[in-house]
Amino acid sequence: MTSRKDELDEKPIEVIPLPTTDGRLIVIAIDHSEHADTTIQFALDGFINPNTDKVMLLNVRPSLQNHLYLELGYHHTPHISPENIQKLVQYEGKRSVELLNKKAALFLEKNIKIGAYSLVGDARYALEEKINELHPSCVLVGSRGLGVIQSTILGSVSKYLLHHLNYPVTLVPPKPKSN
Amino acid sequence: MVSDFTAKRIVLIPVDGSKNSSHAIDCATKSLLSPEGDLLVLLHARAMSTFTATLAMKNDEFSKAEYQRSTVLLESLAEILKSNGYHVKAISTVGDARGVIDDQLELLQPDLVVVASHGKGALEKVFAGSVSEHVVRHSNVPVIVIPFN
Repeated sequence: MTSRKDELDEKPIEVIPLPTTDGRLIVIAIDHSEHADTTIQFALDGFINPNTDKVMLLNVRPSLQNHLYLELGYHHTPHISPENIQKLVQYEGKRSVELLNKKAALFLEKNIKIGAYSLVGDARYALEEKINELHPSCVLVGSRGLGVIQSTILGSVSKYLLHHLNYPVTLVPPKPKSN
Repeated sequence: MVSDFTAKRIVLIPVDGSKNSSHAIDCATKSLLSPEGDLLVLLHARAMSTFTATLAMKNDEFSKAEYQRSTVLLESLAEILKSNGYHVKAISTVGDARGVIDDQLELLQPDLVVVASHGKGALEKVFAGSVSEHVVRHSNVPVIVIPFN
């Protein structure tokens, strides 16, 4: 799977630098779904020790190629003006950064040390690569729906991480819908 | 066991006697769980009588042997955990691991489940953690999957 990160300046963005203090590092991978909120809530409700832990929030934004194919159905890059390409790329970047800042606030208000990164590309590989760099004690993901391909049972990204990471992975199921 | 302990979390831990299983418990209790608030419930599903076992010995001999093995396993795991300050309960029951876990998930209503990604045996390698995948799919509560590295 070739990385197209080099094209179009689609680079990871360090939204919040991770504090360099000691302590257990917990990675939480999030997307724009409600399910991500359930995962965050689980972390805040007692999994995270606010005195000693630090958290790294990760969000993967689709690359231009992913975006064009998945959202618009293009198999080949259509003729789009450079200005519009820039707009698209900036839109994805802005959206990801806003999400990370919004969710990070929930941790900051409880004085939990936190960092946040906006990654680009295929969620499975981008997360795998970053997590391997970080050496966390544990990774928290929602069991479904993380990433652009939605699987009905176990999300394809969660499943990939489960099979490929050499770190404990905590899968958080979605909240059952109340009747 | 009489104590003043009120569990903040009930943690269900299916075990199968494999190295991966004990490694998973070790890893979880060292960095992911805490003796102060967690009640660990070890769960062992012991084999129902197999066809080859009925050829080799009488049914009730097999059951007794399995029960013995299960008790020894659970007691030794519990001892280690208690020496690390944990509160532990243990359940030994007969049946297929997946069905047994489903039942206990319903009965115990744990807050968390801890499983090893891979158990034991050649078959497990082919299906790559079929029990852990089953738990992940069917659990309504978070599941921590510990890799076998």
